[in-house]
Parts: sequence; structure tokens; C-alpha cells
Amino acid sequence: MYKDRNKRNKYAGFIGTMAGIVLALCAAVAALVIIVDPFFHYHAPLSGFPYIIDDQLTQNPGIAKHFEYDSISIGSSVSVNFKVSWFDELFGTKTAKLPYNGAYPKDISNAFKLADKSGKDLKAVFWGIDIAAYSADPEEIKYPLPEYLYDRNPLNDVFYVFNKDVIVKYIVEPYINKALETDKDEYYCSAQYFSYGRSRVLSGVDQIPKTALTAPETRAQNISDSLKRLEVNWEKNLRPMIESRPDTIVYVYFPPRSVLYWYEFRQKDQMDTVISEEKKLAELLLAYDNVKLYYFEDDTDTITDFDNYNDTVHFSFDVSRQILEKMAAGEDELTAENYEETIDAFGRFVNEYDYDSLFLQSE
Amino acid sequence: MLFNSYIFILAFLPITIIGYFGLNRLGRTEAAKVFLLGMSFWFYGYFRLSYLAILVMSIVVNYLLFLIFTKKDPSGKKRNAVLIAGLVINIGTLGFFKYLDFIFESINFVFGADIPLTGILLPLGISFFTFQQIGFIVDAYRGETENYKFIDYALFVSFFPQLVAGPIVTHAELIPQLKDPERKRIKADNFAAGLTSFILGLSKKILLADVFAKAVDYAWNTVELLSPIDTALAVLSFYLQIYFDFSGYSDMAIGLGKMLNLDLPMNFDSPYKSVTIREYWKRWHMTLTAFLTKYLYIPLGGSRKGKVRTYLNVMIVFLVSGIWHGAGTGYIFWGLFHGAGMVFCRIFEKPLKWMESHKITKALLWIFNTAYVAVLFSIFRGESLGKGIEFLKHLIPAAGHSSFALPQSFLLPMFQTYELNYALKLLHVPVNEYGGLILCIGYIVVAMAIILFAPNVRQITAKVKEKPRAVFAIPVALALVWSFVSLSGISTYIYYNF
Repeated sequence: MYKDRNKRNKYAGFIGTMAGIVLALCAAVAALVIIVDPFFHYHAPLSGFPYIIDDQLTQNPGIAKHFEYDSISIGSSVSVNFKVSWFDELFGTKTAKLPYNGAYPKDISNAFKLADKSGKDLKAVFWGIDIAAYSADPEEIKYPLPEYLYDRNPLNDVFYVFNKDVIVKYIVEPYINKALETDKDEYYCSAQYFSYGRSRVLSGVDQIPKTALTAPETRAQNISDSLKRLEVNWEKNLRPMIESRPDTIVYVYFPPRSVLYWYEFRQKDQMDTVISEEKKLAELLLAYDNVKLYYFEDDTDTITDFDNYNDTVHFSFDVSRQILEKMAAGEDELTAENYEETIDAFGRFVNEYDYDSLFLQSE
Repeated sequence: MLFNSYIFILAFLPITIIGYFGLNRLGRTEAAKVFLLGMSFWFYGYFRLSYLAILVMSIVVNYLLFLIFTKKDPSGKKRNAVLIAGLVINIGTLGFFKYLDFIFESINFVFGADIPLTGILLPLGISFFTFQQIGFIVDAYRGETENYKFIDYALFVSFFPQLVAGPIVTHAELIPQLKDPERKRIKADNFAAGLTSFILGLSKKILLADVFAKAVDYAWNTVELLSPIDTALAVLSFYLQIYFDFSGYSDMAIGLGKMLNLDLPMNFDSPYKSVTIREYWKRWHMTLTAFLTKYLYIPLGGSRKGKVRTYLNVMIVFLVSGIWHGAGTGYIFWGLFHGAGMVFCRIFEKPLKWMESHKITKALLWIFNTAYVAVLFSIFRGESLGKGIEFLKHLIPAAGHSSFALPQSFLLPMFQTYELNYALKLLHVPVNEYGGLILCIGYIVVAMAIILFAPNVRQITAKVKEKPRAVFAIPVALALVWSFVSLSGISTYIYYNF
């Protein structure tokens, strides 16, 4: 029994004060996140709030749910540098960008499904291919997803609503410093943050010796294995995307990687495998009337000019613009008649290219 | 389940408190215990159900052994046999889950064998609840236990605050409290003190330990790239991480117990203020020290059989401690060197006492002791002696390289928390490469200042219990809210690569 009733009231006062402050602050924090909703989990962006849009894993689902669009752009980090207005200008579409850096086919499928289940009409899908990722495990994704933003379970929204990074980085900081606001025409773009040129690209490449040519049986086995893995991904992740929306035009493109990207494949005698995969994927895609397939890998002027690149793979805004212009104009389109010859010719180009002179020139 | 999780704070804890005190208030005291046991099982099973099965089996088997001692009361050789069986079962279970793959690896390494590893998963907390039950079996053997009901025993072992990482509680400490009717009503003073301890422990874990952890993990994943200053920062960071993490966990455990009117023993008493290893082990993981003293050191003879035997006993105790901490040569080495430190303190007791009594020499002792503990912790972190030494080698500048190179550009962002960033902005410290270094050092300095000069959590909660002023509730409430919103973050992967 408490001898000092006064003291018991003081403990109650202590606990009550604590509880009151905690509940009030938590309610305020929750209200702030729900109202501003920087990940668009509950509603479309509020006009006038300086949103930062830079995190694909957390913001793609909200963009898919609440942005206004009738087409989507999907792919990896190679597909992030399109300005939204370019799609409108060249294709007459309002486009939402839903890339996943390092995307495996499952990531591509996930991105498509985000838009598909939004219930919106999709006039077009713009889809960049990273062929080296397409023999991955069909269930593999590049980075774990914050599931609380991808599901309908309101209980796990606590991870969003009581989240210091959301509050500080995505609400308080941009509110105080409006310069942090992302231009909605350039969200997810990264090309502006890097420098370009030969020395920059070469700095990421180690000169390696050529390995001995692979024995024919091994070569055939390697190709067969990788094609099997590609086909599994096609069945599970890619074909359903195309077939589920037969009225949607799917613009598929092989982006132009710098010639140095292919150097290691050539040195390790792996180009045959890559070329076989590309041809197989092209064959599968071209079976569909709603697919338009474009091949920019063999744009030799672009891929040998390192001023276009900040590493072996990632290209500038100008190159990104060119891709859309060419697709809009129907240039470099692959057809059932020309895809094998086009891709084979690129394989020969890469295998015969004089890489050694690049390394010599840099010395 | 983790204490530092939304589900624990928003669901588990309120349900436990309301359910436990509610059932007690209705006079259903046994039901309240069963409820608490059920909640503890939910807490543990939340990690993995198979872990729960192992815990339950362990409890049942040990209780049966206890019944043999108390009901059958065998004597002489039979009694010894039951004790040995109990020790074998408990140590064997621990050995199977924790050490089997390490034993296989060692055999493979030494004899060039090729025994496949089992990859068996280690049930969380098995080291703790095994030691707890070993102590119980030994006490039962000695006739030092009461006639405990199964529910009381089961709850003693699996009581959720101390189940996974201690403090190691004895039956004599906990079971009488579970039966005490005075403790079954919610008490405002205990609740206030317990809540404070829980919140401050949570803050230590989330706001301090987890920040250092990111830098430590990064450093250990990029050992080959570390400069001497990177390595020094990583050594200090782990030294701080493990303290805030472990002591924070104990603070939370003790706080949770206190909220339920159950007093758990103190486990940390400002150990980083210690100036000798001997003092350190009186302040660090105190319940482990108490356990090993009672159940290993004293049965070995303690200090009663001459100096040499005493030193040997100390080394044995610390070898066992090292092994208990983990299955790896790094843990064994860590234990042995702490044992050596303890022996050193005994041999040089008088000179050390003299040094402690003078300010300057005391400060020197503290510096040396801190460095000794910190460096040994890096071996501990490495798990294997080889990895630990490989890591520590980077304290020495490579030939031809400057001994002072700025920390890696990727190491610095680990310390760029909002809290310290804004503090630096307020102080007009520029955030360039040197500003980044100031951040790292700043974080370490702030952490050390807290450790050395601020009252520890036990002292703060004692103050709250003594003088519960509402104004003290404000910083505690703010600490809770700040820790709560820090439970979740946005992972920024370094992923501009494809």
C-alpha cells in the first residue's frame, strides 16, 4: 500500500505526461505522413508540395496507383533517363516511369503488374532489355521490396507512417529547402549526376587476356542452358505481360551499351551465348502483333563515342532522347525477316572490334 | 520477436501488460502465469517455430530431472549420475546446435578431412537458457531448490524479457517473485521506472548501437580496402556498438520485468569506466560473471588452492566463457586474453591499486584498459582468429602509404545520421571530406562522453523511482518517439550498377 498518496499521484503524473506526449507526437507524425504521403501510398501528390521522387523501390507502387498516365516505361537503370514530356511529345502518351535498377525479369514483371492492377488503360509499354539479366532465376529480384508499400495490409503501414527517413528526408527537408524538389519531368533520372568521356568509361574496365576458345560441345551446352533459363523467364514473367494486354503496344528496345561493355564477353568467348539469347528473345517477342522491337546495340557511331557514356553501360540524356525519337520514327526496327541477320552482324562487330587500341590510346 | 519492433511495442507489450495484470486483478493468478508463459512462447516462437519446440523440450527434460532429484531423491552415485546426465543433455544440446559445424570445420582443417557441414540453425538464446537450466540442475542436485511447480519453472526459463539475451536469472531470484502476491498488482512506481529503463535501452540500441553497427559491418565487408584510420574507427565503433547493443538490451529486459513487478538482476554497471580488466568483469555482463563464479570457478577451487591453481582456474573460466560466446577461434582467443588480463591484475594487484589511486596513472590505466578491451573485441567480431588478425593488421600503414588517409568515402555515410548532421550544421562545421571525418569522430566522442560522464540507465531509473517529476517524462517521451520512428528507414542500396 502506498503510504504517500501524493507520491502515487506523481507517478501517475509522470506516466500520464509521458503517454500524453508520446500519443500526441505519434498522432502528429502519422497525420503528417498520411496527409503529405511522399510515397503516394494513399493518394496522388498534393499540388504545391515539393516532393522528392528518387527511390524506385518505395515510390514505384504509389506512382502506379495514383499518378495519371496511359503508358509506362519499364526496365533497369539504363531506362531511367527519359524525360516524361518526351513520351508525350513523340508518342502522345502520358507516361509513368517504373524502372527497377538492376532489374531481373521478375522485377520487370513486378513493374508491369503494378500498372496492370491499377485499373488504368495502357496505350503503350516502353521496355528496355538487359539481356545479361534474363537468364536469372525466374523468382529472383534484384533488391528486397518494402512489402508494406506493395500490399493492402493497413497494419504494416506503421513501417511507412512512423519512419524517420520518410519524415525527415521526404517531408521536412524538402519543405524547408524547396530546391530539393524533384522536377516531375525528370524523376528517377540520374544522367545529370555523372561525368562522361573515355577516361571515365575506361576507368571501370580492367584489361583481361583472351581465354582459349570454348570447345564446341561446351559452347553448345552453354548456349542451350542459357536459352532454357531465358525461356523459363519468358514463360513465367514476360509472356504474360504481353498477352494480358493485347491492345497495348509494347515498344521493346535493346539499348545501346558502349562497345566496352561487350569487351569482357568477347575476351571470355561468351558472345555466342549472348547473341543466341538475343535472337531467341527477339523470336519470341516478334510472334506478337502488339510488339514493336528495336535494336540500338549496333548503333556503332553511338557506342564507340565515349562522350555518350559515364560508364560502360549508362548513357546520356541525348542518347535516351535518340532512342525515343528512333522508335517514334520506326527506325532500327527488328522484324521476323531481319532480326537474325542484324543481331548476328552485331555479334561479328563485337568479336572483331579492336579493343586493344582503346587501352593503348588511354596510356 | 525483437523488443525494437513495431509489433512488440504496439501489440505484444500492451496485450501482455493488460492480460497479465487483468487476470491477476480478477483473482486468476495461475491463469495469469499461464498467460505470461503463452506470451513468452509467442515471443520466442515468432523467430521460428522449431526454436520454440527446442525450448519446450529443454524445459520439459530439465523439469523431469528436477523431479527425479526432488521426488525420488537419489543419493550417492545415482545422484551423481542424474547430475551428469543433466549436464550431458544440456551441454550436448548446446554443443550440437552451436558447435557441431565448428568441430567439423576444425577437424577438416587439422586433419584434411572432408566432413560435410550440417548448416544447422542456432536457436536464439540457447546459450542463455541452457546456462540457466544448468545452474538450476546443479542447485537441484545440491538440494538448493524449492518445490517448484512446472508453470513456475517453465516461466522462469522462458520469461520473455530475459529469454534471448539475459540477464541470466537464477531460480532463487525469479520464482519467489512469480509467487509473491504483492507483485501481482500494477504498481505505478515500478511501471514508471520500468518504462523509463525500457525506453532508454531502446534509444541506446536504435540511436547509437545501430549507427555504429552500419559502419562496423561495412568495414568488415571491405577489410582489404581499410586504411589505418578506417580500421581505428571500426575498432572503436564495434567497441561502442556492442556496449550500447548489449547493455541496451539488458536495460530493456530489466525495464520490461520491472513493468511487470519482476526484478531482474543488473547486468551492466558502466563497464567502460573500468581501469582494469578485473574491474571490467565486475561491471560487464555481471550475471555471466556471477554464474561462472558460482558454478565453475568455486567448484574448481576458486582462490582457495594457492596462487598457481587460482590463475589456472581463472584461465579455465575464461576459456569456457570464450567458448560459450561463440563457436570460433576468435571467441576462444578473446576469452583467453581476458583471462590473461585477469591473471595479470591478480599478479600485479598492489602496483595497480597504487596507479588507480593517482589521477594521471589512473587515466593511463583507463586508456590502456580501453584499448585492450577494444582490440580484443575486434578479434571477437572476426569470429575466427585469422579474420580478426587480418582486420587488425590494417591498423598498421602499408609500406609506402601514409598513416593518415581520410576514411573511405563509403564509410563516412554510415555516420551521416540526421541527428549529427544537423548538430554540425548548427555548429557551422563544414560538411566536406574533413567534415565527414569530424562526423565520425564526433559520433564516437559523443558516445564516449555519454558512457563516461552521463548517469547510466540504472541510475536514471532509480532517480525516476525516487522522484517521479513530470518534467523528467518529457525527454523520456521524446526519446521513445525518436526511437520509434527510427525503427523503420529507407534502405539506400548502392545500386547504380545496371
